[in-house]
Parts: sequence; structure tokens; C-alpha cells
Amino acid sequence: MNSATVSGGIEYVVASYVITWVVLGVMLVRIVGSVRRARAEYDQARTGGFRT
Amino acid sequence: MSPVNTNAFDPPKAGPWVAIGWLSFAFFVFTQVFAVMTSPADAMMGHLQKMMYVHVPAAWVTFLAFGIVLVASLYFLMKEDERADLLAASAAEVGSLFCGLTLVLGMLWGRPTWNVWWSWDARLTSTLVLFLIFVGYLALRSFVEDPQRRGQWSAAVGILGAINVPIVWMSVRWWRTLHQIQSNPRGLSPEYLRGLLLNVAAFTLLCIWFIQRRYVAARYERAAEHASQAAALGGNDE
Amino acid sequence: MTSKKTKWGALVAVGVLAIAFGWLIYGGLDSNVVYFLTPKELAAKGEKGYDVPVRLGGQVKPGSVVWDDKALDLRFAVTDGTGEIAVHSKGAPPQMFKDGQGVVVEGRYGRDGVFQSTSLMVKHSNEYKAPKAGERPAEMYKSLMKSTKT
Repeated sequence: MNSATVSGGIEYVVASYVITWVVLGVMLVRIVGSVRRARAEYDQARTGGFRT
Repeated sequence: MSPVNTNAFDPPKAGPWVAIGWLSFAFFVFTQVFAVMTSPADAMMGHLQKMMYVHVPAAWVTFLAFGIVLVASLYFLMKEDERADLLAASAAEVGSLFCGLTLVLGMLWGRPTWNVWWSWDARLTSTLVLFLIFVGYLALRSFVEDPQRRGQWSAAVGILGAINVPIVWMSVRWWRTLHQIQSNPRGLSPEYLRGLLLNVAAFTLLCIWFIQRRYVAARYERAAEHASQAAALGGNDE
Repeated sequence: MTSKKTKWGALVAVGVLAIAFGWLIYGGLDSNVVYFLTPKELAAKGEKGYDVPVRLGGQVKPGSVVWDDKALDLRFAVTDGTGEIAVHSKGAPPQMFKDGQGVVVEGRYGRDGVFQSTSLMVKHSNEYKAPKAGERPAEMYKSLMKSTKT
């Protein structure tokens, strides 16, 4: 019988950290982008949409 | 179009949120590295114990975000303030993402420890239902255009969905499950508890920051819609 | 205001929600809320307990494990302290499997009194302990790096 302590499994740990970091990183970039876009949209709408 | 309250038409106020974002991310990176570096292998699980620092905080902020949906939805139904609806939507979006992440991380933890990716026990099933309800919530929002109706419908679904949070939480105590019950601080070695609490704090900061930013974007979108409608009706009303 | 797309989209959304809830309440209460039976409960089912798909949960009875690593054949008993049922399983046990460990097995209880398992799952505790007090993670990482190099 084996020792009952998990010896390997590092790949699962690495995968879960990679997934977490990628998801949170993508989230960060998308959210910052969506705020910028919305603010630009607002500024444009307020000034009639023709000011550069 | 029957806006009940025009608060949502003003642009949001600026705040120290950009700085808070950077600080939250820096803190998150620190807590992750710190927790992994200071954790000895667990007596049973070996290095797989380190999954704790991502799975548990992700689950916790899922509950937090859906709790915000509940409060904001109730507030919207009572006061008909569209800002509460936009806040609920932002929290639902962020909560769904963390809920999906919790499920994926749980599967990755389950395979090497439980010996299966998934099993239909009460904890896993109720968490999946929670996720699906909020995916439905977001789909509903994208299909209803009238802000008032959208607000009311999604508030109803949001409240219904958030009721599942205590069910998910208690599922491991109410029913027999494959998932173990919540760990309590006495059941954790101090070096694990420290890393876990730090990561829970970091995820909480990130979650609140994500929700706040989504909310600000939503407010700008509504303000822009209003401004262009006002312009189209002739004459800027500012 | 209400376009066709809107109506159908809302219907689909409501449908998804209804199915999700129905699933939780009916499917869930029926088969998943009693996720596993204890050895005593399964034995008490008598005739109805044989040859139907069922989950059995309990602890691995200490000293009962017989593992044939050539035939990949595993036999052990699941106990709940009062009753016990013999389990037969094919394939290597999961790493955390050991005497006294909580397990859930999926399969069928045969009339010969042996539970034929098709899936063996470990139900571990909610406690996490460092193996020995004072083990230094830094040294642990060093040895880990060494072991991956060789």
C-alpha cells in the first residue's frame, strides 16, 4: 500500500494558480478598458460627438 | 422609457479608485507569493494543500458579490433608484466570474485528492445552480432594453439567486456530501491559516474594486445614453 | 420597445432559470441529497439494495485492505462503526486512500455480499496540518527542485 500522502500533483497546483492569475489579469485589463470606453463615450455624447 | 429617478444620468464622481486598484493588485501578488512560499507540505495532501489559497478566497468573494446583488436588488425594488440596479448588475457579473473560477479550481483540486473531477453531491450541485442562475441573470439583462423593466426583472432573479448562497454554504452540513465541511481555524496549522486569511483579504479587495469599476463604467454608459438622447431632442440640457 | 429578440431572449433566460431550479429541487432532493448510504443503511435495504446503482460511504476498515498490484485488484471493507460491507474495485487506489480514510464508492451491491465499485472517491477531513512542526518551507523547495532535476 502507498503512504497515503500525496507526493505529486504539482501540475494541478500550477494549473490552478495559472488559471487564477490569467482570469484576474484578463478581468483587470477588460475592466480598465470598459471604464475608459464608457468615459470616452460619455464625453463624446456630452459635447455633441464632433469634438476631437 | 420611464426613468423613475434621474440620479443615474449624472456621470459618476471620480475617487481614489485607480490607486486602490494598483494597491489591491500589488497586495494580491504579495499574498499569493507569501502563502505559497511559507506553506510546508500538508501531512495528507502534500503540496495540493496550496490550492486552498485560490479556491477558498474565490468561493468567499463569490458569496460576497452575490450578497451585494441581494442588497442592491432589494434597494432598487424599494427606492427605484437605477444606480442600485447598475450596482447589482456589476456585482452579478463579477460574482459569476468568481463562481466559475471557484468551480474550475474545485475540479482541479478534486481530481488529485478525491479522485474525481466532479460528483453530483449537494455542495457541487448547488454551486453549479448558483452559477447558472447568475449566467441567466446576465443573459436576461442583455435581452431586456427598457431600464425599468430590466431592473425589476433582474432584481427578482438576483434575489432568487442570492437566496442560494446560504444553501450553498450550509449544504455541507445539511446533507451528506463528498465535499468536506468548512475548516475552522483550529483545524488549520497556523502557517496555513495566515496565508489563507491574507489571500481572503486580497481577493476581497480585488472583488470590491472590480465591482466598483464595472459600476463606474455602467454609470458612464447610462450618462452617455442620456446625454445623446438630450442632444437628439435638440439642445443640450446642461 | 419589446422587439422579437428581446422576447425570445427573456424566455430563454427564464427557461434556463426554471430548469436550474427544477433540477435543484426535484433531481436534487430525489437522488443527490442522500448522496451516499452508510453500510448499515445499504444492508437494511434488503432485496432492494442489490444490483442497483448506488453510492456507499464510510471509512476504510483498518487492516481490511488487500491490494494486488499485478492484477490491479483492490479489496477492502467500508465501515460506519456498526456495519461493514466488503468492496471490490479495479485499478490503483487514489493516493490519499489508506486505513481509516473516509471514502465514497459508486457501484452495485452484489448478492454475494460484495460491493462492486466502479468509482472510488476519497472524502477527506477539513483539517490541514503540517507534517512536523518547524519544517522549513525553504528547504522543502530546495529538495523539490533537486528531485525535479534528477
